Amino acid sequence: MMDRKSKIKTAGLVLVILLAIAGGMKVGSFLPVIGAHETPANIYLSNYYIENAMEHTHAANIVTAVLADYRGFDTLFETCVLFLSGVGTLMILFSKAKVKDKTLLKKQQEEPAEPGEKILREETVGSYGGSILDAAFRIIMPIVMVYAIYVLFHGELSLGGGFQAGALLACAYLIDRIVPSFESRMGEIKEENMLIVAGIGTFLYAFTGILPMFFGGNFLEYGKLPFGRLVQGGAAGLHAAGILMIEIGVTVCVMAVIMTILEVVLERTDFDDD
Amino acid sequence: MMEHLPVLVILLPLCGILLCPLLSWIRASWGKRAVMCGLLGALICAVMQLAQVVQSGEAIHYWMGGWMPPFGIEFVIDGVNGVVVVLVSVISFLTALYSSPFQPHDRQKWFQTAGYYVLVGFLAVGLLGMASTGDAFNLYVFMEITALSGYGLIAIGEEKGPIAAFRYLMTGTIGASMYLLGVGFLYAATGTLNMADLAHRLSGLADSPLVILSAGCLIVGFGIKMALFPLHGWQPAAHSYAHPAADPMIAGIMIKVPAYGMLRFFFCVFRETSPVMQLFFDCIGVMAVCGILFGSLKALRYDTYNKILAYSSIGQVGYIALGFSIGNFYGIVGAVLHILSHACMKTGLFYTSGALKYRYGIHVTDEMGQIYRKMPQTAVTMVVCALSMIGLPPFAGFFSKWYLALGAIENGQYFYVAVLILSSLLSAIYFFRILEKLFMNPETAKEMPVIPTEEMSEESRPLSGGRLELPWQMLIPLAAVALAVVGLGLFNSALVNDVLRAAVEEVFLG
Amino acid sequence: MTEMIDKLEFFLADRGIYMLSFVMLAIGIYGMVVCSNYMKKLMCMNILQVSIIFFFLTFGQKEGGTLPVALAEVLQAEEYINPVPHALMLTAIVVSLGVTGVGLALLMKIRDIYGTIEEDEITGKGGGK
Repeated sequence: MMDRKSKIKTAGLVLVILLAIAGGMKVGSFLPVIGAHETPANIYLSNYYIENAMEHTHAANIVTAVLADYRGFDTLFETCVLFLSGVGTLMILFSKAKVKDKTLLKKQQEEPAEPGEKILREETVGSYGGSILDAAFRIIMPIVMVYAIYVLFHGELSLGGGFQAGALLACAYLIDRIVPSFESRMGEIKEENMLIVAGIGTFLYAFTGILPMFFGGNFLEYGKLPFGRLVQGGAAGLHAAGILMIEIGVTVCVMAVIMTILEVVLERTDFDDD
Repeated sequence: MMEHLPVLVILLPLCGILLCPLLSWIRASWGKRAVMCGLLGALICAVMQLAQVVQSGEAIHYWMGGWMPPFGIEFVIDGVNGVVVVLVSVISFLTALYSSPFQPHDRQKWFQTAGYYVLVGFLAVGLLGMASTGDAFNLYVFMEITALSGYGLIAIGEEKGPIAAFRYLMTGTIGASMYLLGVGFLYAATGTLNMADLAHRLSGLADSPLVILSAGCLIVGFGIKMALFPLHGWQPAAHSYAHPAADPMIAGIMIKVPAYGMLRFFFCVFRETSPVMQLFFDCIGVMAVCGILFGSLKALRYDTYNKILAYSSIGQVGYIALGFSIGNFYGIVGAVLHILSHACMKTGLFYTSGALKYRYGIHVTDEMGQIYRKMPQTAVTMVVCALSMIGLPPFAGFFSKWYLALGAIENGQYFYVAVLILSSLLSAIYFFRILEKLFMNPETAKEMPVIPTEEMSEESRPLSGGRLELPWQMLIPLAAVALAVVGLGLFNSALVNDVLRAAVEEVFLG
Repeated sequence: MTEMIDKLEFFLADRGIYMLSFVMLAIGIYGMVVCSNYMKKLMCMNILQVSIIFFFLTFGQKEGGTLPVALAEVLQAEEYINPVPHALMLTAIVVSLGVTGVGLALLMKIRDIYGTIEEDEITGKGGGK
């Protein structure tokens, strides 16, 4: 019975793929040839951005200029999507008991002696690991963090930016959480508190956009930011400063959200099938 | 600040939401007040911008970052979406107010309250953005914001919530991906993402197969988001099991704003490409007629209050689509009016459903016997909204159907008129069944224990004559929605002639 | 043989990538409809999203174009590839990350309630505990 079902599934899959190949060829023939220069997509907006991005925003990376400046409004809500997914994840799993609490409960039922934080961490994370991992961790950690800062500040010049930097910073925390050790190195962080940080990070972005509205500009018009004296290069320099400010906001938000999701999931995963 | 109104509508709630966790951490009630203040501010700004549009008679264009479209993102507010924005902000604010008795008062659980308000706030922001934006890709981002907060609110609802949310997540992602694919085809054909610019550049490409393909993808994408008939699979479960306080918003406006998006996309962007419009009219007409009949028939089969309402929504979305497929002035006005009136009616009915759950834990219509003695105002709202859903004259529901019928007669599509009458009869059957249970059933609510809630302090406990009304935060939205249903009905000609007429004739049919 | 490979390469470089991304799209939707394991459904959803990202990126390509980072020696506009699809797809990637995160959380919650993430078993139980 099961066998027949899976056969039907395979046959269906083959059929679907064949149909998709036929359909894809047909659709592909309507679309412009890949790599052609004179397609509408490649000349209209694209040329404007390439020719003017450097002059308008002082951002050598045109993708960053489009993402953070011309279409900065999209990116604000993209950051909001991340914040929202952190809140959603925590809200959905809020009622699920943490593994730690379960162990604590079990332990208290068995022996009412004081459970102690240290023993708990040993039990939940496992007491393997060792001195080499610990030493490697201590070397890698600062490098990862410095690299994250580099990626953040270099984002407008070359490849990089807030999302990548935030992910790297969160990686540093991830290493701390998954490399087992006898003592907590960065300390336990409560996921609710991380979301507060994420909210503030996203607010920093929105605030960068709101600030020009008090000085005669539109929302997100970085050219009207009020610190022209601090930045060289007139309006374009201000645009670069604005991009940097929002990238910092994005970094904070991404870092905090990834750490939240990590905490939520790690704390509540049952590894054994009970 | 007047020139910033379109973006302030989004920004005020957004700032409230982003700072909500911080403020709730400082003091548990500050966060929710921040979100509510933001939504109230959005409501004021929305009304002001609508007044500005009506007074000046022209659309407001707001350029994000000062970049000229098509290079930057722009917000466009005309008479039609100005009205939709007002609708969304009113219902969001009322729902935020309505939700507050549902929240735990425990200081330890501050995050539950804060998270709930963040989700509701983002749902509002996403819908407001979808209604105001003039950029095709920006619409996708707002669509996903709406969807994500919707998943969260459905998942934290009743016991089957997570399954319903997961199914919605699957279907909703297909819908959003289809929308994105459609935008991709359009971008490949024209090289731009701004809707006005797309319309301009598409006028020379009327027969391009890419444009037809993209129209197909967009019909599927918007169809899934607005739960149009063959694509409605996620909707009944999602609307039945969502968080009872947020359900009015999910059921009331989350499927209406994509409908507005469809209207805008097809009648603004594809207006000049007649093969696409022909395809659109045919497809949508069939889907609408099937959906109206399917939704009404299916609603007859259930006796769970929420399920009846959910299936009736499928039928009602069909009316909106029917208006699109009629496609003349009266058709579009009927569709827009139905977006407004159905949003108010369905929100009102879900408010009553949430109130019954809140007070007595009632889910099934059989248990509603004589409840009007205990909760008179809930019963009044229920009766007003139900009569309006059936389409009785003084209420809003009648006039939207009236305009739809006028449009169909003008086009000579008498079949559509027959469908409208038939489905009104069907909805009369299932709504009168509910009302019959409400008034005729022997009193069952006596046996149903009152669910103890925290707002019930000592002085409200002695019940005079068995009455046990709701806290004021819930009564105000119930009253407001009932008034809105009556008001939309009474002042419909003013709304159509002074606000909608100019915009519909200029933007959608010009 | 080499001729065949050359032809294939030409085909792929010409329009074939479109076809491949449509095959991925079809596999994604098919999997989401047919698979009964919710985790597999979620993976198929990711395949679907990736296929759309590929689709967008292909029409930003230009033959012989370089990265859209303005170099010291200023080049002509046609020598850089189109930055718009890249910027759009960065947004789409982040959105799909958020959706996947919420989806995984939902799966954990479903597993917590029903003890399984197989669709047959969940519906077979009548949706109860």
